[in-house]
Amino acid sequence: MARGRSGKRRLFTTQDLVVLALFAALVALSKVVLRMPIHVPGHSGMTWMAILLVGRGLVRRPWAGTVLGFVSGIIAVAVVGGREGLLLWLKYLAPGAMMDLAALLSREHLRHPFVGAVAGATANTAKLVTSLLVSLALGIPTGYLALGLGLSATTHVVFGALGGWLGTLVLRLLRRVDVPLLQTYAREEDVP
Amino acid sequence: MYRREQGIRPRAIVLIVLGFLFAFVALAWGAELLLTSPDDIPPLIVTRDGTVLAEFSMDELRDLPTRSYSQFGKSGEGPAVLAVLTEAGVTGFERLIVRGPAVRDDGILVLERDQVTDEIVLDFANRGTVKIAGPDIEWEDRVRDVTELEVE
Repeated sequence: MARGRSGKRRLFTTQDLVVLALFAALVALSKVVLRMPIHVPGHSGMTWMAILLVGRGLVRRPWAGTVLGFVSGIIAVAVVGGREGLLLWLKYLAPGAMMDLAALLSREHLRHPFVGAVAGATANTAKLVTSLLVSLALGIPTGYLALGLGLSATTHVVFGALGGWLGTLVLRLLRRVDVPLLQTYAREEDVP
Repeated sequence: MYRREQGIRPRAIVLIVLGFLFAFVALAWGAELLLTSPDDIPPLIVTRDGTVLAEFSMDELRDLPTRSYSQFGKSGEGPAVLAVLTEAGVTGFERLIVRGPAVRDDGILVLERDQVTDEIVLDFANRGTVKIAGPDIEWEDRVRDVTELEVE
């Protein structure tokens, strides 16, 4: 855990917060900019979960995923909008919190491809569950929500897993690249 | 003993998480089978100034002449929106507002009269509902599970 000038423990350094903010912006903008011609529900999870996993994998601090999800949710409410209004940020918060849980349970081994795939699948599923809950809260009939839910759940798991796996590849690649910021994180990782 | 505990725990966690994921997918398929029936799909209504001009069940829509269109490398088929409006007794309009429950989209699409061409159709989806589609309607603008066509 980082320490401030006063010696008090801080959850995040300024550098952590800057990295998290950048990745949060990437997550939100990926929904707008990185549109893939895959017309299947949950496919956006492929880029979304990859970016989320890379962000959480770089900032290896408790609650980093939740902060990432929270900030990207706020940006998404402002940029993406939609019928959910302010509830939209919940859809972004849930995968972030799930990444934190995955990091905690895997003891920060998000770089492992299998762990990454499972984390991505779980996080993307959390997004779907939150979306369903928000829709229920908005009064949309259960029958409508259940229509196509089987396929939607399956594709969310598959694309989430793919995204998580891609994220682990990017994380591993970034560690090999000679970028000062990343080297700082790499050194921090080596400290027991 | 210590090593053994270290080895078992992550494997157990992964198995539990995978179990949850499989259970969720199975539950989703089960919910779809149990909670949905053709009765869940409300009729499509055509309205003007809050008055319902006509109602069409999915079977009635299937009885109308269909048109096919091609977009994103896929083709779709359904009755032309103009044909549905004519069937509802609409002779003229300036704007068409397409509404849906907004489960998988914004749930609303506003089209000016000149945008409503013969190529704009109510495409029959696999879900048993119709979606508004056409060569000039972007994927993100589509309204799925259309419930209302409002003319102004």
